[in-house]
Amino acid sequence: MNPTYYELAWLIPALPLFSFIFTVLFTQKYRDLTAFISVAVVVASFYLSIRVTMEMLAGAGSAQMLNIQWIPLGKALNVSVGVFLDPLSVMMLIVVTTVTMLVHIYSLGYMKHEDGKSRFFSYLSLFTFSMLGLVLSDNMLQMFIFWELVGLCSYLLIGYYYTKKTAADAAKKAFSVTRAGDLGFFMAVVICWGYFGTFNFAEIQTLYGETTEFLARIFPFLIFFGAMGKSGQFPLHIWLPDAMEGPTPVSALIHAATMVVAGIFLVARAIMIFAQTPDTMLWVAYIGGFTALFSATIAVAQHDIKRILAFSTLSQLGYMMLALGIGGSIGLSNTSNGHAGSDLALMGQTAGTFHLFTHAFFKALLFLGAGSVIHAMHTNNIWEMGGLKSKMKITVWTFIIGTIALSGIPPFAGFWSKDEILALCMEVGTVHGYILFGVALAGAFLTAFYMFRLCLVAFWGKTPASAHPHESEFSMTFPLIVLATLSVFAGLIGNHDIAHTLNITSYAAFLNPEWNHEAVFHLSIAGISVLVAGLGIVSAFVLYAKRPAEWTSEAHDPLRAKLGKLYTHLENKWYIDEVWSWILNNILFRIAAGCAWFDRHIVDGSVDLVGFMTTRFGLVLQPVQSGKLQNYILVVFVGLLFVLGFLYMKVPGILAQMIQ
Amino acid sequence: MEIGIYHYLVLSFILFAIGMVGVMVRRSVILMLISIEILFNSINLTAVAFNRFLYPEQVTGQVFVIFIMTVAAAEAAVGLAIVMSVYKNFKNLEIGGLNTLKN
Repeated sequence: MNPTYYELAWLIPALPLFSFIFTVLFTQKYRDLTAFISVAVVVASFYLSIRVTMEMLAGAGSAQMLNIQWIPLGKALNVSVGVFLDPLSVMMLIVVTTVTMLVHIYSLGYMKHEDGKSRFFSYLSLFTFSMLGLVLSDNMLQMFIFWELVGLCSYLLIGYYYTKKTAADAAKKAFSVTRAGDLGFFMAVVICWGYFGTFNFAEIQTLYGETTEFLARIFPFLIFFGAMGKSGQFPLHIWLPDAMEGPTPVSALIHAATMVVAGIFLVARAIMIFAQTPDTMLWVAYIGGFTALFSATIAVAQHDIKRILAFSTLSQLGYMMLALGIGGSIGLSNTSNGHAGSDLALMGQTAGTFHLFTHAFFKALLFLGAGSVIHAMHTNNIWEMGGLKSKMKITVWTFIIGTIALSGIPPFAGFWSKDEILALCMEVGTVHGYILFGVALAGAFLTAFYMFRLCLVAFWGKTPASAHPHESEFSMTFPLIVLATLSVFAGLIGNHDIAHTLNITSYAAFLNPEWNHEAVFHLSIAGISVLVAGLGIVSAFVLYAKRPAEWTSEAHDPLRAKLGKLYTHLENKWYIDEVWSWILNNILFRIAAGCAWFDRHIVDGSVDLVGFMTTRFGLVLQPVQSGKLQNYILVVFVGLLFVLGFLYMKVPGILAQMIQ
Repeated sequence: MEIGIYHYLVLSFILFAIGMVGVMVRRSVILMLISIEILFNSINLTAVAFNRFLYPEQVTGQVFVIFIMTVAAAEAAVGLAIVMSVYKNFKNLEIGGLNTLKN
């Protein structure tokens, strides 16, 4: 009997791991061979994921496919490593393997002449393994391990150009900032073990409802702290823009489509735990909403093409968090606006992860397009570009498709998912919902504006005389075309009616098959959001459509005069980096200096004191060990006499006894 | 005057004292070895004296003495060999001059 593809699901992460080990050990010298192996393996993983998805669509349901007892300690602790297939993880499988495969193919062209090509592809394989392991985790500890692994890969790949100081610094920054968040996640894992004795999500969910312990109650908040670090939520967002120092395919893969959504995935996975604490969820929603708006404002005044996209990513991640948070903010047992709290939580999960799904495609598309442009222009500054639309047709037009999708114009993917979030805010019906609806709408306006600003400045106008842009090779344009296609059509499955007409499973029905609700869609809300996005596009056209040839640096941005001082603040990213470095220098480093002093003088001092005392005591005793044989004999003999004399005095008649 | 056990023991004690003082105060390695031989002989004398006067029907003491003499001979051979070697290296047999051996 042939095994089903469910049974082969463990191969999906195992193949890239094999590729990583094999290429690291054996093929580092053969750059093309390494690249070939990595690509072949990821294509195989992609194929398996597709087959698994098809089985799931055919009704195979959720299943625990592999469950290896890793640390069996009886009642105290049971850690298993498993492969868990449910709609959420399968959806992530599709996203991760699709984007990973396309990025691998793209890298064949983009990294063609790099000396470190082998290293690059090996790291990519390791990342693929880690990310797939993460999404297939069925328990928190396994997820945490893979969570750290993707963090490591991110560090390695941001610092790929390790001879460049900015890249090395950015890698360190990314590592330490996400680590600050991971601390929260780690505490959550420990609490999990301490209070629930299990790491399994489903088991925690039941146990969590019964507990009243304070530490156990706040544990979703701690998980969210980890998600904040990984998914770049304010104020831990500062690492993501700097992470753009890595090669562009890495930015597309790790810092737009897959790793940064791990936080969203984590919250979505634990949504039923989160939804039991409405306060935490409200916090999640507001952090998400704030990040969405805040990052969008910064993106308006950036000049580096990748940084604009990075802030856009932050903003979209904010939207996802917002959706998850507002959906769960009612609490499971309450009702609001005619919806049960649990329904709203599932709606939040649907909306948030659906935005994750569509965003992965169009944001990867935008990043890869940006990479293609950078490859041709050798600059990241949009003001040093121009006139590309006739020279790089495929790149520019696919990029524009991505832009429209991100701006939320129907029928492109971003429209459906963003609209679902907006509609959800209204459905929740609380005052928080309305506030966040306004925030999300403002974000939508800015999104449309900054994306069209980017397109108009970079692609229209005149090409600088020094540059000779040309279309990239097929291995780079092919992924763009595929992703552009997905960006156009992937959103359609979100809408119930369209999915029904096309006779396919809609996203909501796929994600929660036993839940008979559908994503909400209101024509009025859709109309408002399109109107707002259109307004953003029109503003961008008004300002940038007629870009004169002499606008060749960021100093010529017409927005600068319009916004005045505000523009400088935006350009400097609201000084959050400066705030952090002030906190680090003035508070954290002082505390650290105090601790270092204590360690060096008190802790080390006491240890040194023991050593010092031993030495001094030894010095006092040293003369006894003179090395003079005759002294020893004298001591022995006198000692012997002393013992004998003592015995003679104390034990009467001992001499007589000895003689007899 | 009949020669009894006490005469032997006193002689043995005198020999032991001579040997002990010799070992402790002499600086020359050879003289220390000779003193050690005197110590052995004082012990031997005690052993045969006790054997002869207290347990005449047994030979334990005499057997002991023979063993001690054998071991002493071997020890003297080794000791003198070391002395030869030391002398070759140091041109000197002062015990105080040999403390560089410990390094």
